[in-house]
Amino acid sequence: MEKASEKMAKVRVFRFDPLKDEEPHYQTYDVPLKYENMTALGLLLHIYENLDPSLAFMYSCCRLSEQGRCGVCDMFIGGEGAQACTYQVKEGEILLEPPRIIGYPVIKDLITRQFSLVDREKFFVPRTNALHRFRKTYEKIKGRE
Amino acid sequence: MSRTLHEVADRLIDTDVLIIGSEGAGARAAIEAAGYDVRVTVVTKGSVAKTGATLTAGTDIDADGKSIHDLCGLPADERDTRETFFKDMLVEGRYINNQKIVERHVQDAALRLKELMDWGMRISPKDPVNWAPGHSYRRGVMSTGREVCKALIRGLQMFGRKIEYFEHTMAIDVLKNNGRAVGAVAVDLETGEFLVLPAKAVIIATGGGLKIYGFTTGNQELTGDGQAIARRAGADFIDAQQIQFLTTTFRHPPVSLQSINPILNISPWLLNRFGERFMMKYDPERLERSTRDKIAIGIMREIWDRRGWSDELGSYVIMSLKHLPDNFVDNWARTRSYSKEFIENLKRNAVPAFSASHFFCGGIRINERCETNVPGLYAAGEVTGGCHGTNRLSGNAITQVIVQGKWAGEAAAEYALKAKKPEIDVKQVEEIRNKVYAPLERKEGNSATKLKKNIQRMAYEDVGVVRIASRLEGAIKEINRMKVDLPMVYTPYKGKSFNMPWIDALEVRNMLDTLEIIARCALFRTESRGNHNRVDYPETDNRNWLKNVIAKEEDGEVKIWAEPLVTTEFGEKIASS
Repeated sequence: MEKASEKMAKVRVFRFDPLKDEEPHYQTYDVPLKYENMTALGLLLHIYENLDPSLAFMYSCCRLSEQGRCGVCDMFIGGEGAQACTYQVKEGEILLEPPRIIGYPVIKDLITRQFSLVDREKFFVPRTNALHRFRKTYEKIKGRE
Repeated sequence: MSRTLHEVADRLIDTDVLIIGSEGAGARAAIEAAGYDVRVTVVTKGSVAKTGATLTAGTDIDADGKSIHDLCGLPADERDTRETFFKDMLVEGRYINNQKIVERHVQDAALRLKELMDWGMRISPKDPVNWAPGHSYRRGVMSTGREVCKALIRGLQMFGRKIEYFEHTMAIDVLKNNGRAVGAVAVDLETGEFLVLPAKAVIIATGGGLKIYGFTTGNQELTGDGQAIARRAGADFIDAQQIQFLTTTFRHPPVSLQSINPILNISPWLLNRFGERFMMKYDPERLERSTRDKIAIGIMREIWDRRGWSDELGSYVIMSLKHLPDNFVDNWARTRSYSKEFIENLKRNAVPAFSASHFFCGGIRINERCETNVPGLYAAGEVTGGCHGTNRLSGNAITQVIVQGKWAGEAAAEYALKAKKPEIDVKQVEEIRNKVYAPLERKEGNSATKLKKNIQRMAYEDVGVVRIASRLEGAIKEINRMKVDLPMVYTPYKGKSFNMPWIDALEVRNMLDTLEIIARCALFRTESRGNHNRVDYPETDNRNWLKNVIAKEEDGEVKIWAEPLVTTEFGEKIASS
């Protein structure tokens, strides 16, 4: 485990505070990979606890057997839809963004307002491919318009 | 000059029935209350059907076999009646359940289950009714937490905009006037606004406080908020010490957990820091295949004596499968649903093993109508106690939330129809407001995030799965010391929108309040019963302790006493047989 801690990840995080910022920006953090199977959520927790307490993100279920169940930590990692708690990170650069391009309005940083209650049932597919499905449905709706 | 309510509150939201918590019990209560001519408001710290324990539940839903067969049309054993279900719950709860609650629970279970099915909950087609340990018959209707949430959302949708939701809104305290609950205050985490919600009746449905413990199978947001709110409102607690732990869980760094109970069947080695198989000391015959409580005691003793490992999350021992041939492990893993990487890792490396909090059996004292001792204040679901006694039957958790959710919604709505318009004491609101925003205004002080970790570590080691008087006393002292530190907590970041250190600061106060009650009740109950393991009192003492431990806050102090059990005729017949 000690050897693994020498590895570093360069994490670029989407930042936006609606009460302060007019435009979103990106902030970069250097995070040591403390564990062998460190997830993107592990990176975020490290940033929050040690580097920058102003970062906002959400997570909820986080168990190995149940990881990826709730979908609260849905985000875009390196441009692909994923869940922070299941996405295993590797050394090097990593980009974390909220899933705003599929229609989630950003509340702050990586936290987005998820669909309204009525829609939520329709989109109730919280497994890892949820975001792809969201995107497809979203495109379909857009196409219809 | 005294200020008016409009000046103190950023937003004033008038309602009749206010529900704190939006999953299982909260959602079911909202559905029930909305059927009456009352306004219903739901506040939740997370998002509806996205956070909370219901979604991640296992999940089988218990009801007696005959009713499952007759009402739901599923293949269950018709010999199984409500009486046998009642008996099983009492036996598993070691007879300290509130029998009136249990009696209504077994009567309503199948009806509520059928309701969920009508709202679209799908049952697992492969194995619809499961036989879990502790039950006399096949009784657990298999579904998933997701299906339960989906069904509840359909139920909520029937009422459209009649139910008002406030997501990302953390309730802070219940307001009281003349001894009765008259609403609550909350903080909108998105904007940092202070909300005052005058209500005729308040239902607390926030679930267990599992995250008070660093190692947990529960969700991150379960920090005992409901229990702490109820405590400060003067509600009674019943057997708060009864917390279910999964004895050996192991983690996949940094934040993941899974039970390794099934692994214990193939005799892994549990090792301490010196590489010793310590179970040789605690159960020389059965070793790692010993009973759950013995293994828990073994692991905890090693940790107490500093023979375990320790890191930022807490202390642990390790488990190894290295002594088993690879093909043996492969063959065994084939019957389980573990991921391949996980098994490959197990074959090569030892992994941390420890106990994780799993379910709160004790909590706010309610009667069979979900009323607390505070008029106008109701509680439902895991946040309450009395239903399960000392141990919950497998699969009875979802049953509890849907059954009690209905009672609470019904009772609160009926009460709200008769109650007068709530009058709010502005001074009380102002005091709470000052406390809530104090960490944001302070320039320096202690970090709540660190304090949270310290609490979690202390809870796990001293008020955890195994208890001893000296450590419990130490924990209570430590809690009081931390409470002195609490007014010194500050947030390094001052923004109001989703300020996570601020949320931590608000949660830490609740965690301490809830943990204190747990620790004091655990110290008071000088016996071992079900989930409550006292190393210094290892026997179950039926002569002196067929009683409930009741706790209540009075003027900041926790008062504790024992009360005789609530029994029914049928329950007494079983206890005597």
